[in-house]
Amino acid sequence: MMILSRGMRMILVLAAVADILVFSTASPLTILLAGTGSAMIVLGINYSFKPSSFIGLSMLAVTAALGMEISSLTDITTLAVAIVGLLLPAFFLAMLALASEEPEHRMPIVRQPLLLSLGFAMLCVWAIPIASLLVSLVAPTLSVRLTPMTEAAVMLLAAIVGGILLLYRTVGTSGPQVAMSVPEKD
Amino acid sequence: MRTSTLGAVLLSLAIAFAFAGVLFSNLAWTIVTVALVSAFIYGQRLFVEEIRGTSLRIKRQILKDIVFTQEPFDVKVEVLNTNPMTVRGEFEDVIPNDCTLSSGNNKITHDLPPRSLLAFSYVLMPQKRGSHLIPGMRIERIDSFGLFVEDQTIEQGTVVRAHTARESYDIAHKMAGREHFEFSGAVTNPAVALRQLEFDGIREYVPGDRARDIHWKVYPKLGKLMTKTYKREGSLNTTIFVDCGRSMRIRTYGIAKIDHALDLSMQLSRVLLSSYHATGVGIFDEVRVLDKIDPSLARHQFESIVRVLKAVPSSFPASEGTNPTRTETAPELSRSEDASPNKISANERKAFLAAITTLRSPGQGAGLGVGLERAVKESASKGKRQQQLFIVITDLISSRDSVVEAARTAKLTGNRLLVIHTYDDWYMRDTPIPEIPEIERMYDTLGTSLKVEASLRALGSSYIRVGPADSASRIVRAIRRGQT
Repeated sequence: MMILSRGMRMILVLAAVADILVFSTASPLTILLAGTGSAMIVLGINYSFKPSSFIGLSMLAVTAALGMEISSLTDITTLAVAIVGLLLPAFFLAMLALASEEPEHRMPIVRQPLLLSLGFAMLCVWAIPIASLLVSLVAPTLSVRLTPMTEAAVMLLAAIVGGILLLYRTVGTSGPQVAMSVPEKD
Repeated sequence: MRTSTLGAVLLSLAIAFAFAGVLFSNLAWTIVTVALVSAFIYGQRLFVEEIRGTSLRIKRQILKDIVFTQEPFDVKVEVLNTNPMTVRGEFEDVIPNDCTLSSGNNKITHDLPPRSLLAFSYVLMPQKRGSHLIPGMRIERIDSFGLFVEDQTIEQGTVVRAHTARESYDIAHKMAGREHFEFSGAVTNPAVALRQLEFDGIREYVPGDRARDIHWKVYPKLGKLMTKTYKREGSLNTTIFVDCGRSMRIRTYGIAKIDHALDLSMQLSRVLLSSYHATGVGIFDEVRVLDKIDPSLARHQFESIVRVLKAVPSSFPASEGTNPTRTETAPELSRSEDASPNKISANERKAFLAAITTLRSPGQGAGLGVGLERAVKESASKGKRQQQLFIVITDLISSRDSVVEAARTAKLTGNRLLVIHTYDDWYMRDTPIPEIPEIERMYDTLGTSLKVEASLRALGSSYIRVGPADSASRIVRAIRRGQT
């Protein structure tokens, strides 16, 4: 398990915001929203106040979505920009903002859940190229043009199915745990 | 696992972003949706790992040596988190059914970091005598991101044995030295003569002699006070047996017979010990002797007796049990009324056979009988021809045969037996004015009781019938006056 300290988390927040701004064609309104959102996340982490971080996250997410225009994910350049410039920063920003009330400003990162959720995100984004590939394999003569709405639908379908499969597994929490031998009191 | 308000808001935000992606035909919104859902999934998986890896050590301390019924006692709880993950949420130490929270709080909301200790205390008050189980700790857990909530139960229980009310304990101490069973002198009633005394002679009165020992008849002749002296041969070792059978434990109204018997046995033993009679106590049910302490005059004998009496099982309401007149079998061997013979499970069969085997095995003293009969035979064999007195407090329902057999054994071995009969009908005080069939039943019960009394007296035992209003003092006086 890796532990991220408060300073490291703030640097990560600023890096993620910078990453989004670099990869997007930002307007003044976008920059204002991004600045306010990032400031709220930083303040939320600093003062261990989750509502502030969450509102900041929402603002940054809206800013990021407004700042980028992605019409197709079928070419590798756009796909790389979407993953590096939007998906990964937004994902880590969400994690950082939601963990703002961690005691001693430490956020636990556990490898298996992290890999699982990142794998899920990648699968959703790669669902469009995979779907195109499958269509071309099944019907090589058919020329299908994927509209942005179709691509969004494919990605959302993959997200819903993957999310249900991952969230369906739960854990039984009632049962005997490690017991310290306590003598029976007479 | 439930989603918290924050989790619901996050999911709603993701759905709104998904709609925006479709509306604006911009995949950036959809990608943000995927990022938010991924964070949600990460939170859920992380929480699952946290719950699976939970390792809490719970230590409870009862900060009182003897817990009395209707008297508060402190419970100190320490929770040690040995897992490298923080446990967040509301910790609630579950209170036993028959206890109420007197003061303090058994719930605490806390973030318990790894390798750290959480300590809190509260005050409980047991409503009834017997064993009370604190079943464990319930934790309403919240994950690191605050997106999920889950109830977790840590089943690390603690048993608290509540003794009878303190009032009864105090009465026992007050009675010590004030009440006495015996007269000084040759007494014909076998239940009264706890000391084996024999007339030795008379001598001149010396200040300090007891008034009851003065020979008043010779005063007019001699013109001076003379005192009768006795040769003391030794005191009787006395064991008080308390019947803990199922019929004794049924509580119809007010005090249960078992609780009354327990109070009586404690107070009688205190009176006996204060008069320097070696006293012990035993508890038995239909099948076996649950616990026993041999007669002794050791310094902490009364405390030992109290400890044994703590193991007396608690009472239960009549609705949970069956008619006492039908409880002839041991609790372990009985089965539910609606169960047909074909429905006896393999485990029940095994338990039954194991019980029979235990009774019959040579190592367990075959032929000694069961319940009280066995206890009396063992005590008689241990007594090495020294005469003993057995006081049995029973309702003569589920253990009637073993009491009669014990009386027979006592007669054969030259010991004495006094039966204090907690008469069942006298413990049903809330019974309305009875109908004719009920009166007939009570008459039959009384007739049966009289027959049992007669058979016990024929076997040389003494007998006294008591009800819930009979205190230990009244019983002691009745025995002393020979009303047995």
